[in-house]
Amino acid sequence: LLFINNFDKKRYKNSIKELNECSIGKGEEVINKIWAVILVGGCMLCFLQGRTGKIPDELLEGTKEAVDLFMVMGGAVAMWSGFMKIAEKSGIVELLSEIMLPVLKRLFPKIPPHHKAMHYISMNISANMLGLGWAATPSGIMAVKELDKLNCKKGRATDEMCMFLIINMSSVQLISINIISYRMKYGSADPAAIVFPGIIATAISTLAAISACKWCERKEK
Amino acid sequence: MKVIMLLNSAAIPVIVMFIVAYGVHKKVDVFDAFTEGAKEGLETAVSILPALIALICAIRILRLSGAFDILSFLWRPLESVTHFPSEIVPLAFAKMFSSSAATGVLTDIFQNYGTDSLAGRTASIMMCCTETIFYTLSIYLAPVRVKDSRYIVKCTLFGMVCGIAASFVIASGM
Repeated sequence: LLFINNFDKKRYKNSIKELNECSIGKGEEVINKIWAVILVGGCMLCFLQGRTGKIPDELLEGTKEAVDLFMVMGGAVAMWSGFMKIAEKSGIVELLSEIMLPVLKRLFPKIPPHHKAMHYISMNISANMLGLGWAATPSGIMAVKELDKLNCKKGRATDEMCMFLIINMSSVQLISINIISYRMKYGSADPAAIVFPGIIATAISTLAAISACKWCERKEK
Repeated sequence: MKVIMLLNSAAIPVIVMFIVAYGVHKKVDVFDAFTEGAKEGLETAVSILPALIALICAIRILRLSGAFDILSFLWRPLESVTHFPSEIVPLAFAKMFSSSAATGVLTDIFQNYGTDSLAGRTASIMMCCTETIFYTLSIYLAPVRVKDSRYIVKCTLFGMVCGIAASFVIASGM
């Protein structure tokens, strides 16, 4: 019994510690709220429509889908990380970030130009432009980790992190091959007709997001 | 069309070939480097899995609840004012959370309205210029335990709305 008690105390202490660590950044915690709203709201809507019986199945299917996706993604992410490691060691990544530096310098003025974060950012953006999503994920995570090393207020996103994520989430993909193949599958007369309009729309959304980001950055100062 | 398909099928082989050949040229131990990177990649993938399960389950519930249909129903009065097709509203919301959910909605639109209708064209262009916001946000911020995401969501949503508006305007002019 004593042992159990001790164990519980230890666990309690640990959870308190974790709580303290988490509460450093007193932020809005958007993801938490949205996730909770979706789950609670979704269940309530199901309840109103008498579809609650399907929820357990749907949840199980969801976990299955996630693990299936993980099986595909895990291999692909590992493979691209492997190729990227070669590219990093042979200096291709450095070369790439050198090419993109004129643009990146403006977007991320506070990162030293030859910092590792710049390398990962340039790798992530070029992978995203080519539509290699699985190659973009590992470099994106590495970029954020490097940016966090420059962060003096842990738990709070830095200006650079905000800019990086905003660019990432505004989509920079040049040609969306998936959409073209879906259009082909559903009998479009000209499946590739959306390529050029897609690039324009992408440019507009990215530019709008970047300007909004710069504006917010200035406003918060 | 053929050129695009050719470029697409050639992109990955060319990238792989270039990386490995240049690595050998620079005397990198390519195999060791690959396995080292792949190990890190696997660790990354494992660290994403919890967020993946949480998000996909939530999205499943949301789709089951019929919330997307309700959204497009709510948009209907605004459709006559903005001419923005209400069938596309669910797509915009689905795309924020998961590409597989969005692909499901997209193929529904293609089936029901045709790929070359206004709704089909707008949906296609929209899919090009939007990202899975909440998925990306949670997998990128979770490893560094960033809780305060500041203005990221606001700005991204603004960009997304601009992109959707642009898609609609362009599709109308096509």
